[in-house]
Amino acid sequence: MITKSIQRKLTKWAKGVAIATQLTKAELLLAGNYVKAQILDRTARHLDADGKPFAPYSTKTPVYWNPYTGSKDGTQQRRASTRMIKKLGGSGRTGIIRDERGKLLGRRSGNIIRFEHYAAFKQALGRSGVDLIGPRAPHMLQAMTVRVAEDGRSVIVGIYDKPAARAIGHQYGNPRRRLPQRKFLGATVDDREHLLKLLSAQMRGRIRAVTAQLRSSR
Amino acid sequence: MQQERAIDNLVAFFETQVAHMVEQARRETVHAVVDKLAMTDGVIDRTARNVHVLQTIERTFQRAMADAGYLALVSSYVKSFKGQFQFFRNVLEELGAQLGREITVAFGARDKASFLRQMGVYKDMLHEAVAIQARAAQQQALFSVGALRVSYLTVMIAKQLDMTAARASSLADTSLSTFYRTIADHGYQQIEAKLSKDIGLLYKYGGPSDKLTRPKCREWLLATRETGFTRKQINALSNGQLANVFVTCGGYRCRHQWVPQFSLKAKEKEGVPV
Repeated sequence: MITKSIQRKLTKWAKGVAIATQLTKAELLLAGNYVKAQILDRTARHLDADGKPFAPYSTKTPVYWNPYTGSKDGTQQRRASTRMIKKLGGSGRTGIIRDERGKLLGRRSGNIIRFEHYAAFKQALGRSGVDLIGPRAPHMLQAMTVRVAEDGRSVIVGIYDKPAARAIGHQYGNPRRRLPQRKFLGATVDDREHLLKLLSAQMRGRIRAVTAQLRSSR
Repeated sequence: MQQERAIDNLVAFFETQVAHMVEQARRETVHAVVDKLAMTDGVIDRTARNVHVLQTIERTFQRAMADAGYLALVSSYVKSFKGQFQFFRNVLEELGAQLGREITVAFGARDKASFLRQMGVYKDMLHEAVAIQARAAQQQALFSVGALRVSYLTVMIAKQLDMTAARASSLADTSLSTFYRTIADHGYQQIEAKLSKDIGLLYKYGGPSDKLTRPKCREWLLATRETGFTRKQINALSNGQLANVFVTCGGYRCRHQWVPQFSLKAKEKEGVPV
């Protein structure tokens, strides 16, 4: 009689533990958002998903930038370009932007700004490395979203719709457009280990609760 | 080919279209108004009729924008936010086919209602952008009766109305960024509601720090470099432009976002046995 009762309780406990070890929707969201945060952090430190530095920006072809987003009014475009040149530390009069050592980064070209190359453009903005963020919002990294699949067992970190084309270009590279691979989406071993710690802490809490229930029903 | 490239970017496409529409509507408005004005030696007469004509600027410009298809463009732009979810569904369908089972994703009714509400707000804001600029042009024109030459007035109205495109594209950029942040925020809220007992959740301000970064954003980037802010702290912040700093961050066209930092609370760190 006693054995049967213990057996029943143990079966109930085992069932409880089995349920407790399943990830909840909130935990899956936590996992996805943790990975997303790590991707953003690594990218901001100019490192790819394997912890290696990103391939540098191109220094080959010039880049033209029109900072004015309104109509095609030449005067407005020119004024906006002058404002931007000043903001980037250049001369509003000559329209030339140089770095601290005096190296030419860009100059006014008509009503817009011509930079020597993409690396010079990013340097003129004040960025020190490859961070995969353009000069304007919304940018590709803002479009990264986290979703839990309806089956409730998986979480997906991804970039969808139009920004996805840019993300694919970076993630896999595009030799035809001479875009090097910059694999920014992914999780490192450290990420996985830390995530495991976070999730196991959650599970431990639930298992503790099931065990406490068993103890109290003695 | 050029058009395809433009469509590649949702906002770029919106901006191109708006710029074109504004140009068209501005031309129509200036013609409609200037043709009706009575003047002497090129200077607008101070008459009641002229004032009445200038009072139609706002209405004329708004009508011209509507005729050019602005309302439809705003609707399709805001609706295209849903494309994000559609694309996501397509990817899942493909994955499901590869795995041999169906995978579907659905947001809860509350999430959907919230997203729809937000879309409505963006739509209103984009409509309002046209009205604001048209009103500003009208007010400036009314001040100029009896004092300004028609040629100057034409340039002045045109300049004011031209700013509509810049204003609308700024709003379009902002609304899309805010939409992305809202989706993220829904996830964070669920985590906060259900897991806050054992896991500490703070938010770091993430994004570029360069010559274009606003002082407020720079301040938050520095303040959260070591330890993030709690949601309560973020809610107490103000960017001086838009409400709800959690989803609007530094305001219009902000390139930043709140990035969660998860940590184990002290009890869990000690590894309390089961």
